[in-house]
Amino acid sequence: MLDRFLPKTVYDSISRNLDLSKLTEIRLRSQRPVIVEYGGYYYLSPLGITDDSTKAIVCDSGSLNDLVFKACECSIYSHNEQLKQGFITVSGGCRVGVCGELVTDKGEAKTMKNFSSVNVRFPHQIKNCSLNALRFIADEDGIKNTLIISPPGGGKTTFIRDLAYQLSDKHLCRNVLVVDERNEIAAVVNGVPQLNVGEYTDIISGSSKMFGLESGIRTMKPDVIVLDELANIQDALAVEFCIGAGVRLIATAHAKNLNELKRKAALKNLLDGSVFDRFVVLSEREGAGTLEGIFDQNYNCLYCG
Amino acid sequence: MINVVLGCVLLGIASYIGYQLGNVYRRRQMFFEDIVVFCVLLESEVGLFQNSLPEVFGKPMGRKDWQMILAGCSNELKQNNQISAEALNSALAKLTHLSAGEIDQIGDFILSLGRLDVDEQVSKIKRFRQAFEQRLSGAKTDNKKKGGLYTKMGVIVGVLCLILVI
Repeated sequence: MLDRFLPKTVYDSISRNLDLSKLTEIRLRSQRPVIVEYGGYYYLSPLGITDDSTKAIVCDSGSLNDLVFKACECSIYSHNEQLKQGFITVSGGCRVGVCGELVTDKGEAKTMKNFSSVNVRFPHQIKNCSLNALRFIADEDGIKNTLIISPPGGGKTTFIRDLAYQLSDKHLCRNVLVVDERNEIAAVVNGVPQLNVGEYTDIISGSSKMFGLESGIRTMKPDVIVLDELANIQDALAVEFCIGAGVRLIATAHAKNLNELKRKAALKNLLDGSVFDRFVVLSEREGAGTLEGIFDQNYNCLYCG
Repeated sequence: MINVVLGCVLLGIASYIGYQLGNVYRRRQMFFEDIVVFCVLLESEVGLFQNSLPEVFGKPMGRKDWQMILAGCSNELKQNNQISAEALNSALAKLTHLSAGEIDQIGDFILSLGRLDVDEQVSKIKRFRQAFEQRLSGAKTDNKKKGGLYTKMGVIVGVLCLILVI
């Protein structure tokens, strides 16, 4: 899969020298050394990882343009909506984040070109990573509206992916709906989820949260909805819509801790209205996904990691 | 008796030669007809359905010459995830009924696919389609005049040979 779009030198080095299951990211920047996250950040040389930048593989802008073109299956137009948002999802669930020149027309983003940086992220499905928290989220009273928080890279998406799987697999509810705005949770490619989110799970990918919720609630009759990254007022309105429809909700937000969460203006109404019954705090303290604590709607600690 | 047989053989050969000479123009017309149809299909595949190039090139369509080009492109996309200019030009060079300018234009068309957003891509396909429609118009005229002429000439020469031999 990687050989179909990575530059040959990069792919050859990775396939010969690295264990893909430990590889989290490959960062390619125009005219700068290639960097990999492999239990830490290292430069990538033809012989594997190194701390010496002078030995690292360097990609030019042509290679990056080629990489993006191939990641789009030689069809930029068919991935343009994702490109405008700065990413492409490729077969296998890899997410290719891109930086370049945004082409606009009357203030509206049309496409992106002349790519200067690419970040290939490898999703890791960590089965049972949410099990410790599951009993606080789903019990005999049903599923609690839950907000999972962590800093970027803290493991929120991996966590809710597993949570969706557990709710489905353990039949804790009949229908799970994943509204996968950025196609990170299930990584659907050509209608096939590349990551397992459970057999009783429906996925709406690529749509805005509000559209996904409106159509999903109307048509798929979900018992619980899983969302990623509540960031702005529109997302907060979408959550209010969901709660108003009587559907349980599991979502994530960027925040280092509860104090930082409380300072988020966009989520103020949700927090003041006690929409969420549970807060799960993750960190990278002992690796991404470290469970720091689980709190109830009054911020009382139910579990401390 | 031998003369009759010889005459018939000469008739056959002359007719065959005339047909083959005329066939060049028929093949040109069919090829440009297929490219124009492909462009129309491509506009909807790209503009409406936004299907990727491997999907579009994988759909069988057209006649022998255009099918060969499509199949080659489809294989390149499957194996190498790109269409190489060398492989494409090599395939197009086998179509001896095309001029060097036509080969370049078709090569530019195919290699330009997939590198633009939807609107720009559809717009580019339309521009190429118009160019190919002009070539088709010329090919149709050539086929009508020269294609038919060569076929008829072949038969006439064959009949004359038959008469002479008999």
